[in-house]
Amino acid sequence: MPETNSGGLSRRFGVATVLFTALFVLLMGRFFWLQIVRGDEYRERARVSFTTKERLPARRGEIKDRNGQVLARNIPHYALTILPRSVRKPDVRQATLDRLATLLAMTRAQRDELDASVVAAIEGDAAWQALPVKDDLVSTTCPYDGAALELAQDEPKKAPQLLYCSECGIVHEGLPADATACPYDGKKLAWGSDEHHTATCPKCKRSFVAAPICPNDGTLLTPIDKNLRCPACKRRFTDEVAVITAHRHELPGVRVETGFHRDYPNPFLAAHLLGYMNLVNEKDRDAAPGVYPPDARVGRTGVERALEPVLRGEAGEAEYFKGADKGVTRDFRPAVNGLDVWLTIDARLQKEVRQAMRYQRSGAAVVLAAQTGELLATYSVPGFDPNAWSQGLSQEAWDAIAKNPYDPMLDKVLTAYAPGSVYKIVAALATLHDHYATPEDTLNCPGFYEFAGRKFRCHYRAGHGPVNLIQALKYSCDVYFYKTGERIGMDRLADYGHLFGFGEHTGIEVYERTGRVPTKAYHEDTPLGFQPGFTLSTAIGQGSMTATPLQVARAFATVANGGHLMKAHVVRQYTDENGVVVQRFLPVEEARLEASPEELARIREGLVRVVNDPDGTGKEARLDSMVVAGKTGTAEAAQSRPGADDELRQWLKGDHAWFAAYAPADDPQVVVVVFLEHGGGGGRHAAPVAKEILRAWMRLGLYQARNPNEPAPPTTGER
Amino acid sequence: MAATTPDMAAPARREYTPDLSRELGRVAPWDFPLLAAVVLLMGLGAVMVYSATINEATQLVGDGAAKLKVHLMHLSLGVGLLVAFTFVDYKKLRPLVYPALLGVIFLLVFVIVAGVEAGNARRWLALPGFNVQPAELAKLGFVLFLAHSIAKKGGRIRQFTVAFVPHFMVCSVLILLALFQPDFGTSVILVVLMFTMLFAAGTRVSYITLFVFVGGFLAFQAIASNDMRLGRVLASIDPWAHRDGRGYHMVASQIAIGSGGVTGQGIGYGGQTLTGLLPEGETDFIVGVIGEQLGAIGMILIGAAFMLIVYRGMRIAARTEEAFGRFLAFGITLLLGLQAVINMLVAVALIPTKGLTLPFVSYGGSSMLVNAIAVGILLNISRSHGIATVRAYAPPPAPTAAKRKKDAVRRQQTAAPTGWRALLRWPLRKKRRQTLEEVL
Ligand SMILES: [Zn+2]
Ligand SMILES: [Zn+2]
Ligand SMILES: [Zn+2]
Ligand SMILES: [Zn+2]
Repeated sequence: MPETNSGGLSRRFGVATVLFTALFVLLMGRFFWLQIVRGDEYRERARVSFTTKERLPARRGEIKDRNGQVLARNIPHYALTILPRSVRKPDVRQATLDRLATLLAMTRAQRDELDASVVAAIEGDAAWQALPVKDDLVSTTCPYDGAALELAQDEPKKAPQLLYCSECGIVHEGLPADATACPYDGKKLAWGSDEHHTATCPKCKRSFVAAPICPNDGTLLTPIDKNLRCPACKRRFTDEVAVITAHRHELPGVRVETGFHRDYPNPFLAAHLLGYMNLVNEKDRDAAPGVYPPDARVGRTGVERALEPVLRGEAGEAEYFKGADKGVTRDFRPAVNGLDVWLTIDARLQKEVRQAMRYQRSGAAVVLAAQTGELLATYSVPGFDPNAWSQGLSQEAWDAIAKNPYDPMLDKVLTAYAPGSVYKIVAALATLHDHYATPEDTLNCPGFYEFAGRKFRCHYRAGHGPVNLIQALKYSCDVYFYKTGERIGMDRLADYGHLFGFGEHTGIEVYERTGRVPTKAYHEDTPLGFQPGFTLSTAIGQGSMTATPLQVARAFATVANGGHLMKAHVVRQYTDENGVVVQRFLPVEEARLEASPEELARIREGLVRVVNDPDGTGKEARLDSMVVAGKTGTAEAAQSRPGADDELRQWLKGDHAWFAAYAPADDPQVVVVVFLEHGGGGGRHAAPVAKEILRAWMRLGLYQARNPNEPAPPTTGER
Repeated sequence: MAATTPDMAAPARREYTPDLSRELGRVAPWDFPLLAAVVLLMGLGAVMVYSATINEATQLVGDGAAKLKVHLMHLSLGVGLLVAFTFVDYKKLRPLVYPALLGVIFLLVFVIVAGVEAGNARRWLALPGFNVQPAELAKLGFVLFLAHSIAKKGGRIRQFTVAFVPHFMVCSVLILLALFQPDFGTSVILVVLMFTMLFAAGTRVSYITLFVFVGGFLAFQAIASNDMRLGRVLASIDPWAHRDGRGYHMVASQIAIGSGGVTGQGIGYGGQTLTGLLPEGETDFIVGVIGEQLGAIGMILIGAAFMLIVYRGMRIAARTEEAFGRFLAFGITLLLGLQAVINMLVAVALIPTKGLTLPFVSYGGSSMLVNAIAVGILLNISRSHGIATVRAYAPPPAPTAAKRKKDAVRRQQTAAPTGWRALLRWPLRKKRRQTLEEVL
């Protein structure tokens, strides 16, 4: 009976079968658990766990001038990453990296380094995390100067062939061995007799090879196609993004991630106004929770900072399957792009202002539309490079800025200094309005005024003799204003100062200083206490009085436009990326000067004479083409600074030079204020600069004669 | 009296002279349920391989059916070999056991020297137009060797030295070569195969237990000594914590299966598998694809198919009286069942990733061909056992009284198993009509 032989063994077969059954039951139980008991949960997990939420960055709005010229823009930036998991097979990895190295002209060392990090990620626990390959792929802009690249259209014969060495990574330029001239500048080439047969151009120092062999290491060179050229520096580039995209089938796991850099195409034009951006910090993130990812950049100064919420837009979110190269979108909330900000600045005028200020060490110039309070130009010297700041400053650059005694980072248009004689318009109006003197009344100037046991000197030591208000303005006689100032009194003078907008915010959208209009109360709080003499100093814009060039410009605009204290503003409108206006900002009248037209007319007359009378202090600003009105200012501002060298000490001793002007005198449209820190006399140094600016303003055709039928410009509007 | 009816005239048992020619001419039929299960799995496999590779293939070579075509080529080659081996008398394989074993060892050495590297391992031998994975051949070679050796030793297999020394030595050589690649999965399969076959052959359970402990200790050493293996084991304990690294597969597969629900998302509709989130969906993790696209229904289908293969295989083994065939059938069944079970346990994240394919279903030429040959041999054994019974066994000696009593008890159990024994006996129960002994 066979059963006898195998019966016991059959039972063991049975045991094996039962064990298998048990395993199958275990499996079925597990399937039941996964699919039926927790199926819904896993379906949800399939949705959530294997998708990645990706931030869709919003496009930051551009900043443009009033005519749409771009002042701050975004340059696309392409980063290349590789998913180690996709190249886990060594042969695939080698092939992919070899291809990548050739396409991106990597050196062997770079390639091997990348290989090592990919292997490390695979063997470590990070095969599913994308590794950076290259940060800046060249595609649309020149990596050296940011110029937009254009297609190279080479003369087919002359152009050297580009040959890539896979060993040293250098792109050599190949020429036929019988070529005699440098293809770039036509200089005669001397072919060396060395084994690799190379030639170097004596002028441009480029070297050329005759055979496709690397002179450094003897590797056979591969011809490559560099079809882009930078119009600025004439370098040639490969469109790396296009190349990678075209070869993506040979590059598993390789992905191009697009981002944007902030770029200021003309970085020194209006650096202070525009500001710069840098890395987000904890404070920014706390202030706007959930808005900034850790590597975000935020506007740090200027318009970039003030209008950060408008410019930045709102990031969107996309939910992708994690399958890297096969990414399929699951859920998608588009980003809301930031709005373009159009400034009231005219870039052409701004350029001229910069030109006019080119010899100044430190100072500011501002051009304001007299009727509307719009800033047409604003410039502060010395400037800085916002591109460098936005991209992260090198230590040397940082040191250079920190050591610069002229404070390049400070926007001097919005910083308060002693205004000097330009402030005299305040005392002048107070004199007239409060009837301390009629325009015809004269006060004698012997060159000084003795008050409270102290001699207050006129800048003209010989004395101006008897002067009326208009003459006092014209000669900038200090004694006249000492005397009227004494009558007006400290606090009343301060009231008039505030009427002109001194000591107040001008309304400009960016951060500004308000300066100080001293009162008795202010001085009583200081250790020195109030002394009557302070009133006299304040009347001529000295002492504790400080004002920003913009405040001065606004005060002069008020005089020029008949008493409308306009809100200064620099933002004209917001548009979306298609140029559709989202919001427009109209001029806003903040206050009306308590002054009769006659009173203002007298002051304006004085200001016209300052420039146009041959003995006026501001005669340097006289223009033939147009009647300019203005006021000089020379504020004593001698300072000492520890550690200053001779040159710096000399500079610090100088007065602040001011010149505030408006033009044309009979139809005031533009106010120009030039402030030169320790720049010397206002008439001598600041007035010519203002004249140059005004002349440029005319030349640019910005002056438009007012149509007498046209209603007066809007003075109120909604923001 | 009346003419005796044939029934009544039935002669006494003793006097009956059997007409053996009838029995000898009657060949047992193909084991159709086994064949049906294999064909079902192969068909399902082709569909799922297509579904798992269509996107990737479209993207990489522009032809969504590119991988399917290769798979179908393997499949038809496999079916050809299956049919061919069905007609080759399995006993003719016996002289080939040692040459086959040596060949396999040679290939394993060769793959270490000249194999194609893939994912930190050398597992492939590149032949023109075909990549051979010697480890797959090694499994079948080892089963052939074990079956031959156990059959040769007969009852002596119960002795410690006879049972272990030769098999253990061969097994060690194969495992060492496999670990050299490294191929931990094959090593595990080989060890489990050896112990289970020795157990089935009658080796004392205590020896096996001893060896399981020693082997377990060595396996622990092997795992702890290799960072990658240790990492895999750690990842399998908590795959969710290693989702970006080693636990990725397990989590992906678990989610794919779980998200299939009862009915699945439908063939060709699977978020995880179609987007490439489940890597190796056509090979090691094809269960994930099936689970996601066909749901619990699909899982029951493959589970049932493999269970049927195991039951039919065990049945063939149990019914084969000739020792080599018996153990060969057992070994092959074990091989197929073990691979399936381990593959599925990996897919549901119950054990660490092993790199084992799902027989008949997964993409992969070597595995397909070797498993097809194995089933061919199994079918041949199933066809042969009717004759084998007659040829292989001499008439049994007259049973003693005690033995007869014991046999009677056993036969009764066989006839009407009850309780847990029923479960044990059920797949092995024989139809009495077919037992030659009965006829005699
Ligand atoms: Zn080189
Ligand atoms: Zn040259
Ligand atoms: Zn360039
Ligand atoms: Zn005077």
